[in-house]
Amino acid sequence: MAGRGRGGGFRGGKSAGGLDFPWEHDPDIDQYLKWEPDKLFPEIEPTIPAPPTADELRSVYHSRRIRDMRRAGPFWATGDLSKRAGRGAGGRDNKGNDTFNAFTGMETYSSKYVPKKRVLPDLKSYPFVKEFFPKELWDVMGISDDEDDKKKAADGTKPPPKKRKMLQIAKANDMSRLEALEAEAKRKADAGEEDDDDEEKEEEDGEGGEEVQDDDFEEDESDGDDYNAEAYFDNGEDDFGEEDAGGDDGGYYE
Amino acid sequence: MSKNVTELCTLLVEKEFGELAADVFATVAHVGRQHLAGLIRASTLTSKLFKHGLATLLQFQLVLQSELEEIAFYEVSWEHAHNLGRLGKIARLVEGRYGQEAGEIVTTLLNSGHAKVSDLAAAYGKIHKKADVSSTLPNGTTIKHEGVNGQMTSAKKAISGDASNDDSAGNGGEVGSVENSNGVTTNGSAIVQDKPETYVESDAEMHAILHRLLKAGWIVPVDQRDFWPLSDQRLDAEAWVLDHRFEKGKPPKGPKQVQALHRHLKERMRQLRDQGLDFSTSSIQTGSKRPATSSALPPAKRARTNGVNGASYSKAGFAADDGVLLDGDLVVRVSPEKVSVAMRTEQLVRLANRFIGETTSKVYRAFLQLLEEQLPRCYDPYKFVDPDPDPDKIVVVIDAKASVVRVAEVLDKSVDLYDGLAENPEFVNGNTKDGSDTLVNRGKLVERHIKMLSEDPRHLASWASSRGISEWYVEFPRLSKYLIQNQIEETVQSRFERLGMRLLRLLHNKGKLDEKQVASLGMCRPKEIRPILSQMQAAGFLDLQEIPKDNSRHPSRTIFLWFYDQDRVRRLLLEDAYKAMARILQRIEMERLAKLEHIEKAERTDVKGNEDKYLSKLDKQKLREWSQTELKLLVQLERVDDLIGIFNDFRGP
Repeated sequence: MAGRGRGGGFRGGKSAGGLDFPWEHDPDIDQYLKWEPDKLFPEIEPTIPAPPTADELRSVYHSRRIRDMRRAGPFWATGDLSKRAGRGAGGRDNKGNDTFNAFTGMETYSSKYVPKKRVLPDLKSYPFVKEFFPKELWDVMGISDDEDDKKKAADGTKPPPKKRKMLQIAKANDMSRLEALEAEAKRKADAGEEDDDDEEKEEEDGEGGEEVQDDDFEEDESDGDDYNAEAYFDNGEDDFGEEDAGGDDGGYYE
Repeated sequence: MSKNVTELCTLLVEKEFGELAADVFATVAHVGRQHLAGLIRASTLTSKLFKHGLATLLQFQLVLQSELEEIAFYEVSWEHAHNLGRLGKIARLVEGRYGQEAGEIVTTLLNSGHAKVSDLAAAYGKIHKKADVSSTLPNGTTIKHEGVNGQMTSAKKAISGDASNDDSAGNGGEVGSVENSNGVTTNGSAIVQDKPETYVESDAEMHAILHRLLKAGWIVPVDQRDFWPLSDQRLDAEAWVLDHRFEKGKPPKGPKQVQALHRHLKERMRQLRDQGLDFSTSSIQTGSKRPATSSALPPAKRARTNGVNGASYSKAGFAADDGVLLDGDLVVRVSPEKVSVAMRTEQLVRLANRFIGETTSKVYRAFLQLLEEQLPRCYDPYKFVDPDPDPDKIVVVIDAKASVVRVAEVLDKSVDLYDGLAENPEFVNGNTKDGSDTLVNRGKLVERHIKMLSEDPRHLASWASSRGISEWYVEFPRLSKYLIQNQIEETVQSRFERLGMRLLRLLHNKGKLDEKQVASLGMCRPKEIRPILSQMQAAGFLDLQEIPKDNSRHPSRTIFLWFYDQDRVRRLLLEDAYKAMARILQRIEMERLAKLEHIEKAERTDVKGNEDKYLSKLDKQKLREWSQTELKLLVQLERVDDLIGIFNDFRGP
């Protein structure tokens, strides 16, 4: 686009801006080329992607599963959310604005059931291979120094009994909450119909068709967080009756 | 690293490990190689938070540490960080090749970064113990696990009650009948009372699977060096080479010695990298009674279940009594390089399917999967090169080859090999009678399919030797280039119609041309192509070179040549792909925030387990909508990641 810098001069005719080009000037070309700068948000016609293949669905199933395991696992941590812009309550973002949302941020009765966000990863319960980590991180990782232990043993103080640390492993078929919900919805939808052919069902329900293997929804839920050894959630179900009877906490908000 | 990669990797870390790890990762990525105190100073986090985040990242090798000096320095590992976008794919690929049990173990490994074999054994052992106690079901209750659309592995197994007789050869026939006759009942009427906690049934099986994955290169042993950045590994190797290969105190001088240094360095790096894989040194296996099968696919002689597309096979394939016992102190992780090899297989099979046919593509898949086992990575920077090759000889280095008989052995028996070939036997649909299904016969048919692959203009296979029966290999570097070009052409076609793609191909073929030549070779009028050429230049696919005829550099005395630079376009599209992935991740987050109210409600501890009771119709609908939106976006993420594989991972530098 050699003539671009000369602005309108280009449109004049054969000799653009007084310069002779080795090609002929084509007046029609202006309708194809925009000389003005691009818009910041040009209108784009969305292309409709092809429907997912079985392999892609399987990949997504696995990636969701791994992510769900991570969230329940020892490494998931949010850190100090109030420092991050636009999140959390009571904190201030980079610009000093209060990030508290008056509409959704108020504590309600039911917020006691909201699972607590973990600020720090639970590293102490994890069996690290300590040789691979620099010593400066050992204290946060719950790794005890052998030399320290020896010294203590010499002093007569016993080292605290070591609990066997466990890896978190993948279970055979844990469905996520949403998948379970979908499975349930599908079961209900299918309940009226004749369920003679599995494949047919899955074709109907292209999206939810992945990994619906266990229709027993309740059981699945109870097993779902089984691998969560740290008892990450405060299980509120046990004291549910009592608290509700007290009544002075106000209504039961949902 | 480019801004897009940094953004993408930070988002991936946040998706997988939460905000704390993402903040730490962003700091290390931004600051670069730095020690702990320096990093903490540069971040807004407190020292305690930062250390926690850093330890998490180190566990997954997202941050590497250098210990050559007294203070540890930290640096991010882009390779591992980018691999976080592929976790689902890795699990799927392993599962498709080695069965559900292997997929489960790989998932566990992906979920823990690296792990000691003894820790893995302890974790599985705990589960097995529990299962033994709780198992009160009658023997032989069979449970069906169904993959997507029934196409994936459908592994069947008796639950732990009679686990001991499970891996006998009789399993094959019995399981087949279960699938056909009771399959629906088992699944439909939900007698599934006790779902197994894990597919991996015993420690022995776990060791067998691990050993097999190790041999195939899907998982690799980890040592201290894997936590060092590449530059440190080189420095270390260089120091060793200078010590051992050159005279002390005399640094190499002159071009010859410098060349020798490079050669030795390469060799040393290769040696250090592969020493963990040396099976003969018995550091890996202690007490293997007999060698485990080294194939991705089960040996043909074993009884097989009739899986739907042959990707599945019985647990007998893993033969829990293989007797392989890995050293408990061995630390393993999933190899990020191997994943690209498998992704390349997928892409090539897709090509074969598109250009030749489905049956041939199945043969090609079996063939490529055999080669996969011999190839730990797509490109080996430390590959041995003959220092002074004989100029009279043309040497073709073949890294991996496979014979047609091997392919026929591992290929699923249900594949009708006559399909897609010109001549058909008198019986239709490949009904196999009269011994026509013998291995030799199938081998011949496989050879004809592979010949079709090699006769294709893209030469998807090449002939290697005819020792005994013909052996074939694949020219991966050339095909990787072809995949890149193919992908660029597809992109250009979708943006600039067929004409644009034609012009691009023309320029790719002919080199630099002026406009008139382009028009005449492309058989169109200059007026037609001018706007497209300019648009493609604006988009960066083409460029214009000016060659002045004289010193005045006057435009009328200048020749303008259009040209196409494949590598530049590749890098352009690669950056676009990184950016697209980052945008998809951000979009997922935005969509989540839009439905946050409902998602958080469903996550409440009182609601969990009582969804029917507490969730309103609206809640459920919103949750379903969210799940489907996320699914669509995640599928798109997978696809863009395939592009990154093509543009970046299959090729050398």
